[in-house]
Amino acid sequence: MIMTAIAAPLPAIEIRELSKSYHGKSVLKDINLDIVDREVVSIIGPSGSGKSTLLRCLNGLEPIDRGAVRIHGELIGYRAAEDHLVRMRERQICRQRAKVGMVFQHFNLYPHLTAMENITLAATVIHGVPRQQARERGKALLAEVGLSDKAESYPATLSGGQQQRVAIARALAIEPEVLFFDEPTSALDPELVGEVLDVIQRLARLGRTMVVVTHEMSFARDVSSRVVFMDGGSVVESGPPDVVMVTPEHERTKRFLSRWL
Amino acid sequence: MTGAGQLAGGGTTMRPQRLVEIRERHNFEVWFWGAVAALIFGHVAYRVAVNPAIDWATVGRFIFAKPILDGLWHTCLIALIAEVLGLMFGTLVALGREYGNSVIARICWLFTWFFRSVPLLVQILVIGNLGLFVPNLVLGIPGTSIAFASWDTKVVMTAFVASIVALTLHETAYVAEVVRGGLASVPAGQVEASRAFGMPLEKILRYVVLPQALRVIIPPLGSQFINVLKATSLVSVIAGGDLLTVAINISSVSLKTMELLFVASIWYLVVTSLASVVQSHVERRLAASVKGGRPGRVQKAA
Repeated sequence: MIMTAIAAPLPAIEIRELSKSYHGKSVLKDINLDIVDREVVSIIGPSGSGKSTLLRCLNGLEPIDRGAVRIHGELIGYRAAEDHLVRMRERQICRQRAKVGMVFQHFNLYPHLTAMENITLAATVIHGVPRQQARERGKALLAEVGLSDKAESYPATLSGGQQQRVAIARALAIEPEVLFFDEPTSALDPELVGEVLDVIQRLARLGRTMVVVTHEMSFARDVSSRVVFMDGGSVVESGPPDVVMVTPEHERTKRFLSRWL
Repeated sequence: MTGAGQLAGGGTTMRPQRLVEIRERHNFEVWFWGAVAALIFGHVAYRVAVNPAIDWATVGRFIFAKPILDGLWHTCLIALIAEVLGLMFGTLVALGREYGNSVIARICWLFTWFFRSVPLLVQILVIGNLGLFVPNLVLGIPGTSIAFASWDTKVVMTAFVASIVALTLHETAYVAEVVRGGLASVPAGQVEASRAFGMPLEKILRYVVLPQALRVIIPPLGSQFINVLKATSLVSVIAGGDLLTVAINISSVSLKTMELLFVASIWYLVVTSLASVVQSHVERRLAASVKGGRPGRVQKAA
């Protein structure tokens, strides 16, 4: 039993006492959350509860007022100086952001580039991956999201669901340690939601560590290993979907879920 | 249909007819206004042509005269140099305003504010007469007597150089606004997505923002260049050596004022028309090259 002496593996994402406010209005209040590797965490909650802001803070897109975020042990966006933290230069944060692949509500694909170019841009431009190698990987990723025949298509010629699948392939192309989804199906026509959720579900089965901000309650229930309910900038409740979504402890969670279930 | 059939069957005055053939209505209005326009323009053209005060032979004599062609060449040169430099500096000023830190952004704002607010004619006069209040141009450390180089303003600032400097400053300010509009047209999500993938700002600008801004920037830049071509005529106030300077110089000797203004006008028409042709060609090419991004193109692909 020497093995037990080895410390538990570092959490993939470690959030400690994270707080943030915009113009004096508090949007995130003392968030504490650990996410381990291969975990799929759904963040649910009403609009304006701080879900998307939390995601943006986790990869240093937004500065925070207090607290710390670590991804596999590395402080994100800040460095320790004696007894406090100092924000890094943008260039250093850029390097860290490559740890996280992000998928947006409105896809944010590059309209002037083909699907393939969308996927390979970051890898070739930042990481200096040779073009041919990037394209090979791009091909594999397009196959993974079921769009092998759309490599040379421009985003405007693709349906919303296809665009979001390209966006997922693009996020995977930087070989991230974790994947963030910011309401990935909210901008889609209802009949296109399924194809995107299928791709996310497949990634979950492959053991990807993912944080998904979502309004799709059935997806949160069926796919995630943990559900986090946020309201008013705080984590109200967190736990396995069968617990949080079936027998929630807090009155606020019950009220929120009663509208969906 | 059934209503008409019933009426016809009811023995009313309506005759059963098969009215299906359609003919274009004669558009008499177009003919009428065309005739009016032809009359007016014909009259004006005729009066100019037969005007005894205008010596058309002089126009013909000077249109290809060496000094006029030299002036034309200088006009094109001043416009081209000012446009190229203005494009470079204007892009930098626009980027400074949109992406620079607060000091740079404010300096860039101040620059555009100043050079867009002072009339170009005044700028040309001030820069053309720079030697009056800045006798020497000095490259050194401000506040000290250390100077690496110094030039006599009157020697460096010839009328030709002053023309280019003034038009470049003016053009920089205007191009900056055009480019800024282009940058602003790129959705914020594009920059955000790129940042999220760890792209540094200069790469985001080069690969994501500027290519998308270009299609918004290019059409107004064409008009802007045509404006510069015409604005070169203002440098005649400091004898900038352009087409109008030459035309005025000749007319003051030969006293054929109108004739030489016509000569200048004809050449301005020629060069601006050429520029317009190039502009519309570039715009068409641009529209064709923006695959997928334009609705027209999408419809074809779908």
